[in-house]
Amino acid sequence: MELDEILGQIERELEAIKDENDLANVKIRLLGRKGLFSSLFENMKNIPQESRKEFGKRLNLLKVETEERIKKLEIDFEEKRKRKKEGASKIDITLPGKIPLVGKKHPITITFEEIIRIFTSLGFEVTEGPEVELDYYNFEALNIPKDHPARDMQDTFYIKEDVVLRTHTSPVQIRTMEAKKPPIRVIAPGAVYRCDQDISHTPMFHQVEGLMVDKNVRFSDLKGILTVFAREMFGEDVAVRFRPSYFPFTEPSAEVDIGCVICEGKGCRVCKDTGWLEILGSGMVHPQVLRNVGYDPEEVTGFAFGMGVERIAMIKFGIDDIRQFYYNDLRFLSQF
Amino acid sequence: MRVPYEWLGEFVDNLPEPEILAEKLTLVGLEVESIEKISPEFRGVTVGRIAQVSEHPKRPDLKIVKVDTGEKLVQVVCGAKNVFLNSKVAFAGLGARLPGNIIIEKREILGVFSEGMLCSEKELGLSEDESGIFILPDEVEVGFLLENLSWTKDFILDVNCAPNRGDLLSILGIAREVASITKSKIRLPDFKMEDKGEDIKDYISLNVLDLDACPRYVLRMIEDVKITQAPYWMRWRISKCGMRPINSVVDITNYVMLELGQPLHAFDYELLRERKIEVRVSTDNFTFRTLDGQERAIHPGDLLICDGLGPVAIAGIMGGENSEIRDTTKIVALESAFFNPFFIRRTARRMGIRSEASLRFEKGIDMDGVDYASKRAIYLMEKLSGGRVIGGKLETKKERDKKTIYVNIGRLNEVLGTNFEKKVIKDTLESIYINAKKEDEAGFLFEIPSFRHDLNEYMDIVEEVARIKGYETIPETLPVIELKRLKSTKREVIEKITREYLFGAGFYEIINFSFFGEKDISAFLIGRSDKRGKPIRIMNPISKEFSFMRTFLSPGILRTVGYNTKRGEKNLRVFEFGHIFFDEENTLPLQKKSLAFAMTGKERDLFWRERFTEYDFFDIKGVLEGLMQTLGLKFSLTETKETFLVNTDSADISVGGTRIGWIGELREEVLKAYEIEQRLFIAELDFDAIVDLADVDRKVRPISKYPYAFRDFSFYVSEEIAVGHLTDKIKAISDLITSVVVFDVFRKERRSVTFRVFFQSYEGTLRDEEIDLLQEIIIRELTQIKGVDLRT
Repeated sequence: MELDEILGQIERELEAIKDENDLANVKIRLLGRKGLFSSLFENMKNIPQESRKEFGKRLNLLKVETEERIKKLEIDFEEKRKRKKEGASKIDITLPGKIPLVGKKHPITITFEEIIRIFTSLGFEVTEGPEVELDYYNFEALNIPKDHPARDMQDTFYIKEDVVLRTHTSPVQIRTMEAKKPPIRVIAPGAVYRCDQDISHTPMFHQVEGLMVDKNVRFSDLKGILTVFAREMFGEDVAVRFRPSYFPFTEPSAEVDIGCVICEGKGCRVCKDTGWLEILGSGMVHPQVLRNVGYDPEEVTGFAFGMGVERIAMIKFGIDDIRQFYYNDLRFLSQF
Repeated sequence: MRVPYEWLGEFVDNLPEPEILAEKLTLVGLEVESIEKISPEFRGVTVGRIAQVSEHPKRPDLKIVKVDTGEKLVQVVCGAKNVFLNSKVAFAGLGARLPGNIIIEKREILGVFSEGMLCSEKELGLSEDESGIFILPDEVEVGFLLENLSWTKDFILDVNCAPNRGDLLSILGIAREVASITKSKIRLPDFKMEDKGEDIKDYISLNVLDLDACPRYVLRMIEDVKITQAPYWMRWRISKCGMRPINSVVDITNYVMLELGQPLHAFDYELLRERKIEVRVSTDNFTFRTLDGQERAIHPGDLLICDGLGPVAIAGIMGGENSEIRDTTKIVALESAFFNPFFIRRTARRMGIRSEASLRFEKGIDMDGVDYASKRAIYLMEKLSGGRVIGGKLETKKERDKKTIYVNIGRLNEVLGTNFEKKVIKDTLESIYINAKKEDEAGFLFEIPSFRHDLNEYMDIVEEVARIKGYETIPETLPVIELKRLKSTKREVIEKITREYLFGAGFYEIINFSFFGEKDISAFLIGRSDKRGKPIRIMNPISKEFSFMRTFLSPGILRTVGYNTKRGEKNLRVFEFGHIFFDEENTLPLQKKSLAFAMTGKERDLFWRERFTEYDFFDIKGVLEGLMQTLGLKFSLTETKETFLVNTDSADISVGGTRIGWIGELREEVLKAYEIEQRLFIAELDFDAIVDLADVDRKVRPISKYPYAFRDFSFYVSEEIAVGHLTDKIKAISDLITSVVVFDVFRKERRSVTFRVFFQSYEGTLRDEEIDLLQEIIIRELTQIKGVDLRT
């Protein structure tokens, strides 16, 4: 039999299939032990030597093809049978799918992680300090004198006369410098506490402190590092401004502003029409602070910074009431 | 400090526009928080001159006034008392508009026409004064539109001054900074006080007992003053700065304080007993009535101003009621002094007073400006209160050490990362009165002006250079740093794995305040002997419900659940990672990390294809099992003593004999305290212990190449036998048993449990005979236990 003839026979057989029964019979007739292909291979010995190899090759190819076509038909019939069993031949794919339940990070965690990512990529190490802190670390060593208004019971939670809930993460600066020698590059994330409660204050909130101390750390380095941070956090095109400020434990001190992300500097309610949003406080470590930890300000210099995590998150996510972070309202948390 | 733009203009020429000035001030560290625009709310009111006054024929309390408007005479009926011939007044003619959108119309008052109105300050919206019509200074021109007078319009810059910059709490102080910005010089007030003779010595004596507490004290006097109202412009400026006008003499002292930064105090001379002033530090405890009518407790160490018999003022804080300026005061003794900030701060803080004077003394004022301010005030009193200056002054003074700071230019540039030239640095500092006294190759010796108490060392000067040059002139650099290994601690690793697991398990992270209250402890039925019942107390808590540092996280979790279920979110899975605190003697508290997770409701409410059942113990247990697996921990559950848990479905969690937490269902009465009306399952774990115990190093076990087989076994298992125990028992029989799954539990007369046991070998495909053998052993081992029977 010529190959064309064989092909024709196979086509006819396959076309005639109407149900699974037919398919089974055709499969036996073509591929069965006594089927068409078997007998054809059987008869190969009658084919002249010179064309036998070529014929065999082509016949084999045809057999594989046929097998594949039959397999496909089998799958189709199977599918049809299954659907029939379910009573519908077609599902309504517009019915809602089942969304997997996954948990969500709290926005403060999201913001923490981003800040930490940026600074660790710049070579800063993460460290921590106690939330219930000695007056000495929270104030005294940071050059905040005894009669400074920040030490009032109006602002600071007291546990004992000389023990407070830390009002900022800055005491970690002192603990870090007491524990090791320069070069120091650390950030210290954590919770801090102040007696205050309104739309822009909660009695507990979070900060990230940063400290770099080494030989020849310059104010220009502070500007460089914090500009990198602002751009990473708020986008490449964000305007960054350094403005003189006052903190007892840094000098010169700088407040860092970014161009208002809401109005893009045109002036709005959020930036109080200034076009700028304050994101963090910073400065060169005050010589007195260096002396307090036994460093020589003639030998080493450094810069420090501290930022409110809620503040950054509020700017980033457009949140206008800081208390939102602590209601833990699922309708709020589910949006992150 | 509220700074009227118009007033600032008296000190500095060519002020930039208010907005631009505000930005420039902000950039040198004087943050302008807001600009308040002030403009008159009236239109068409002009300056009139009273040309003729007569009585109303029918109402003797009313006057008929002819007002010269500059163009014509207009007739007005007026009820005010201070209507004097030829005085200049605010005249609102027909059609003029007053605040509140009142339009002046022609009226007839008992047969007399009135074609306008003479206005009081209150009617013009300029002040609260309605005692009479507004008399204008003589130099204003008749017919001039009042709204065009410069002092009716202004901008107030609210400048947020650094707490160490007391020198900025005056117009003069701000003007110095402005002049540095505009590269000009300030202009001091132009006045000349005639100061002849030494008459004051015949009136009063001065004795300062403690020169350290009061390094400078100047007393000047003026007699025959009339206590009236201060002129409009002065009251207006005082009000714009946020103070309240009182009377001419007191207003002048306040005015000069605002202008020059020197607080002044005026005594009624005739109330000073024995005609003397003595400045001394109190050695006793007693009370003293200040001019606000309050009895103040005086302690030893408070600095007092006394007369011959006792205190007349608390120095620098507030005057006494016994010597204050009255309407009848004729002779004024004026104090201008420099009090030691330490004394003022201590006393003011203790008394809880923050007066405008104490605010300035606390930060330190200009020692060299004490007498200048005194002369300025006496001059104004002479001019505005009609007094006569008593010649001379009484003064005590401790010589001031002139502060100098040496600045090495190379080092300054090194610290800033800049390249400023020597001359630039000198010019910059001299623009704010920090003058170079000596110069050498490397730098300058600068002399610090007497008003700058904040400049004490080299870095202070570095800051001044950076600030005045502008931070924008300093480059941005990235430091060259040595690479360093940033090691992840085991804690960080375990915490990350735990969080990831819980997020994957569908738990929302929540963050609560680290506080809780008495109510939480009692709601959880925590006993006094329990260390969780002995929390650290906050001396000044924000509220009663947050008066302690929390000792466990669960109360916060319940607050969150209550908050959400009340708002209709009934299906919750939440977790919190947080610090808990325990008191430790003689040291800081023990700060531990805790982990709590909870679930309530069900997986979801509505889904078209299936229904969901409410969570029960096995849901929370499953979360724990998965977590323990992830952390490589084998745990066991044992009976718990936690009183807040339902005892039938709760347990303590132990790992290797260490109790690391508890798990289970919360009792209804606990839930009720948080207004939760549905079942809640929760676990709280000692995360520090978990970090210690966790083992997350993984070595992969090869996968068997051979197929597995399974057999199902059904037993009757009496209730007192733990199924978990049977599972363990089956597993222990052979290494070929790879897992045991409980796949059916039901109760008829007895409890029936079906296990599916999986068999697999690494060596070859298990033959039926081999499995049969194991099957027999399983049945034998289990049925040996009393209370377990094979179900057939």
